[in-house]
Amino acid sequence: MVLEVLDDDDCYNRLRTGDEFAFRYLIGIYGPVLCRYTDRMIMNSAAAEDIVTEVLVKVWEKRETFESFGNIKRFFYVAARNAALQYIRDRQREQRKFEAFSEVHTGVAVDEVIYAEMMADLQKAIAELPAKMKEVFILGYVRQLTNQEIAQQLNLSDQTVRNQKTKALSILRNKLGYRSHLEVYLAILLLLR
Amino acid sequence: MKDQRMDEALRIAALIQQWRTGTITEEDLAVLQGWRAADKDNEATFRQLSDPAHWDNELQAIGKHDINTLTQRIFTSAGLSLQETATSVRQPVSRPWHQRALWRWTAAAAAAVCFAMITIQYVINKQTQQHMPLNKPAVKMAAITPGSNKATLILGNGDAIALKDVAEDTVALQGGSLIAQHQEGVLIYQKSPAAAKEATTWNTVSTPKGGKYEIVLSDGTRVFLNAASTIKFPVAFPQNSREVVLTGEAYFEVTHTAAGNKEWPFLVKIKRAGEDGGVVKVLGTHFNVMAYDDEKAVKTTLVEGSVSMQKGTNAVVLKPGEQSLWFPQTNTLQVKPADLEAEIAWKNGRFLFRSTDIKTIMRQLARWYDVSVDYNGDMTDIRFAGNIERKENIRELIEILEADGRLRFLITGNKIMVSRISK
Repeated sequence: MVLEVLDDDDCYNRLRTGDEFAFRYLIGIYGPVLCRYTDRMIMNSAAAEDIVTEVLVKVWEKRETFESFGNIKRFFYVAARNAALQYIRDRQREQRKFEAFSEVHTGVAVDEVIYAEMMADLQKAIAELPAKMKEVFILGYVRQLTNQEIAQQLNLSDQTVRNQKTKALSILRNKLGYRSHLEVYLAILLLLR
Repeated sequence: MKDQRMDEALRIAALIQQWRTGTITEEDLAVLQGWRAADKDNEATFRQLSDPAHWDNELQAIGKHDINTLTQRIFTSAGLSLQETATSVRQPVSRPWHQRALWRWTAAAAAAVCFAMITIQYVINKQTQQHMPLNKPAVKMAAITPGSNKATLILGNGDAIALKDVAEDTVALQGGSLIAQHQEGVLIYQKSPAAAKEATTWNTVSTPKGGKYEIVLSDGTRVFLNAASTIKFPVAFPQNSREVVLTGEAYFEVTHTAAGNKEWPFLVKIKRAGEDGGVVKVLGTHFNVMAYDDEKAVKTTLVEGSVSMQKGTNAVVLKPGEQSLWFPQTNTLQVKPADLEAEIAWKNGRFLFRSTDIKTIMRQLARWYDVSVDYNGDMTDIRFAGNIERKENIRELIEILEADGRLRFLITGNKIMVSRISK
């Protein structure tokens, strides 16, 4: 199975036609991001996953009614938030057992969306890494294996492992355009000249 | 949220991305700057997003959610076939990557990216060093439990009895009083007619970390003892004198007793750090005394009735709703209005924080959950507000404290390490 990273319009068009692959892609990139978005509001990961599952199922069911990818995004961010608020209300009614810490929740809705969007960008960038490089990268930084262990597992030389790691970092850095404030400021100055 | 706000949010998110990749137009940049300037919160969000340390935390949290599981659930619910997934079922690491569902890696890799991007040098050079692992270590949560009714009773002759072991309805005689425990967590002293003749016998009830207990004294006064506290009292109050000695924290509901025409004051002598912490003189009233060794001040909070607080030559009289604070370091005694709900929240089975600094919060948790806490980083401006039952598992609280990304908690056995994330 080959993974393509779809751009927003592509994803939108394919989703409309009922392309399951496009839906998987959407879940892959936005699923965990939405779970985190919801979790920040209700402080319950399991319930957050329940909510996101429902919301994304609805997205599929309504796939033909959306006008753009932005439309889809707006739908799921709003739906998740409404479900989260309902969850909180239900629990308060039920038991008064748990009152969410107020400082975390006041007026942060816009921020939450912005964070979520940025995380989605990161997810996409990683998904686009070349196959081998991605694997090396994950084993190294997620699994915390040593270069030697990675080399063994994937049947590569130590040197190759190191190279792949470095390249991956560099690609991701470039793609996400993470620059120091100074760099961006200068870039903008040039733009404005 | 209104659609408009959502649209604005999505637009700003897109602009921030363009700014980051240097593809933003002049006009859009102006819009972005406008948004930043419009509200302090906006500026704060913008900065946080630009702070790599913050990304790292977010991505880790996202990585917690397994894409495979999510996809399976959604597909099943939507009535879609899971064929694809079946052939790329989760496999141990040894299988070649291309046979696995790729998305499994996406979130996990995302976590790795940030970690790498943010601390590139660090990660490359120090792979084997002890740093915050991306996957939380297996924490022995079973070892940390919320407090419960636990105390030790020390009799006049020095014998110690673990109170939770005492069966219900046990009755004993101690120096002229009948001691009974009719329900779990409440020890009751009742004066017997013979009391007047006996010399005063003192008993002590002591709670460990993670303990609490209620004692009804021989005059009917109820004492609610918090964790890590001790109260020493006569089993039967002698005539004209009601005196107890307190270390730690307790809430009192003192009965109003008149001996003849005179009021019969109730005195709480405070012992803090082994020394005299002052005396609270009470006439029929409800109040809280907080006198832990590791807190900066001795606080007496009056809920109803009337008390006077005396330390050395300083004395103040409190009205309901007020509290006195005695600072050992400077030997100053102050009176100020009290946040009653917050001060006695513990007695009502809750933690209540109102812009409370993290160290104070952790000291309370340490006493209730019987853990020890260490800090890494400057904690001075970190505050939280919240209201949660003391029955809750400590994990719930920790999750909340971590939720806004300022702190990270590492729990090993009974020790908690609190680390500051940004800066």
